[in-house]
Amino acid sequence: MELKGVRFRYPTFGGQHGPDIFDIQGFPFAPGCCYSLRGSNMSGKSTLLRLMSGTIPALTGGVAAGSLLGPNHETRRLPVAGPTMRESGVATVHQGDPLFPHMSIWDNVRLTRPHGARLDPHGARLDQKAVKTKLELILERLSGDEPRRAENPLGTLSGGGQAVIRMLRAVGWGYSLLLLDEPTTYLDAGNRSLCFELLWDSWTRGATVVFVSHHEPDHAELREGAVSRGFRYHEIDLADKQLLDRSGEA
Amino acid sequence: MTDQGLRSTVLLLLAVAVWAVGVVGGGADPADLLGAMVGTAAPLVPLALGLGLVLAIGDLDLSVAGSFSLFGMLLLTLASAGWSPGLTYSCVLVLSVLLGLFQGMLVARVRVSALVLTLAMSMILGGIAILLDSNLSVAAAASPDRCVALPCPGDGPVRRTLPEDFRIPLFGSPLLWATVLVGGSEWWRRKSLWALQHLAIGYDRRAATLAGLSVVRLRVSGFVASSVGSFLSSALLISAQRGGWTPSMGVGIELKGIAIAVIGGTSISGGRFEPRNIALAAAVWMALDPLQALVEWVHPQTQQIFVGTVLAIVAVLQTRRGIGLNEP
Repeated sequence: MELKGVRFRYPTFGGQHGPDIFDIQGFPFAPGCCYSLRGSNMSGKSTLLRLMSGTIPALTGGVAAGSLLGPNHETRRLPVAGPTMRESGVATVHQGDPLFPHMSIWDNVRLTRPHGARLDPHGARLDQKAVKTKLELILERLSGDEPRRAENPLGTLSGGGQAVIRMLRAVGWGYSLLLLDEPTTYLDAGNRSLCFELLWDSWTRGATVVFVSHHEPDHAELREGAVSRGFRYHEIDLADKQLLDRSGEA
Repeated sequence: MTDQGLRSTVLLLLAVAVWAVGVVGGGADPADLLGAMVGTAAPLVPLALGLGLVLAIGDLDLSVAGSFSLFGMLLLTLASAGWSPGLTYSCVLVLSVLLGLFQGMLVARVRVSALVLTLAMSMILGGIAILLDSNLSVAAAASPDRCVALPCPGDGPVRRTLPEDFRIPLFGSPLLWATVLVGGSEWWRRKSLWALQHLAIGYDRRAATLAGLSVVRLRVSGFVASSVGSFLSSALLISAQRGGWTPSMGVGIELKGIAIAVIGGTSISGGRFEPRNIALAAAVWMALDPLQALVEWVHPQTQQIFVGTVLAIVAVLQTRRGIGLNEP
């Protein structure tokens, strides 16, 4: 995906709009790379990911301008709708994304199944059966939870377990661009490790990952994982309303 | 037993109890009474299913009162103008889809209030139905040979029927239609990802948006289902030739349909849709109709009290479940 002339302002009281949250002239996200997005609090990292995934300004209002060159080389003028981006191959994990606790664990995962099965790195179809098998393996390994079946309600899992399911929902179906906003926050070591395992699995398919975290060990693990697997790793910074690639800096 | 199974059992027992009252208290033939109960309920099932789906996705459609009357009057108008049955039914079906699309887009994309818009549409469509009825009366007076009205205009409210060739065998079997629709809807609800997405937006629209679901598209499809359900119910009733049709046939039917959907387990707050139980609820509601001629103390007021009591109990139970539990 490439951002071009992207600007966004939140609405304020009285129908006015606040200042630009960011003003990004251009930034390409290359395929098969991992981007570790940093920035101070309130710099707009989560807002940027939500804009790229199409969940704002649909949910919050506001004014968005610019365009996105999507994973399939289609150009979309902002604002775009979430379903449009999902159809383009963009999946997201937002911080604190609500799930559906009364639905089964499997129903929560299959809710975001794309039209048509995609392929894993070995060329096997990522159909419902394959993803459900992966889910069942994960359910046996969840840290802090009793073993569950895919048909059990999601609400029977702990918060950590639900976070892992949230990750699987995004990365398990073969989407080509993964926008991950604090996916491992507050997770214990076991579930955090599971989340990264799911991420490495999707990464090997050539997916592009944009990962936001305040947790320095997450960035370290991403860097180490990318280098050890021979993938390109970029550290990018959202500062002064701009996206800057710091990868070449000492 | 699942919650849905429990609701099915309770509804079935209620229906059996009502049937037993008719057999024991009214001396009715068991098979005849069962046939009457089912036959009275079946035509309403498509409308109740459509309204149930709209409720399940968190919306409301009051326009079925007007659309129900209008679709029936349109069938009569086109039939009296000499249109063939196939063309008549097809055109009115297409109109029902377009009406659903129109309302759905206004509610989901433009964000007009569903309550106000569908109420307004109900009035507009109902008014058009009355206009069509007036035109038919004028046409009948001018050209008695083309009259499809029984009794003749001027003898009080006109109850109209379709010509004999419009009684398509399939449409003449409301029970068959209801069975197919309920079976199909149950299968769709259990197996289809699309159904799951409908229920998801009813349960938590924000979560569904964040998951990347097309909330607008799903809401529009709910209104289309409601409008088509209204058409099917009016076509089934008018084709079955049950006492003729008037433009006021739809009065109160939206409330009846919503009540049947709620008694049938549809959650008022969205997220739950149980076609099988909606059909059973229709049977419970309509079961008292045939009893009115059989049992002395069964009259419209009794039916109202009975159904209102059941509805109130269901509402209390739904509210109680909504506190502390996550199931809708």
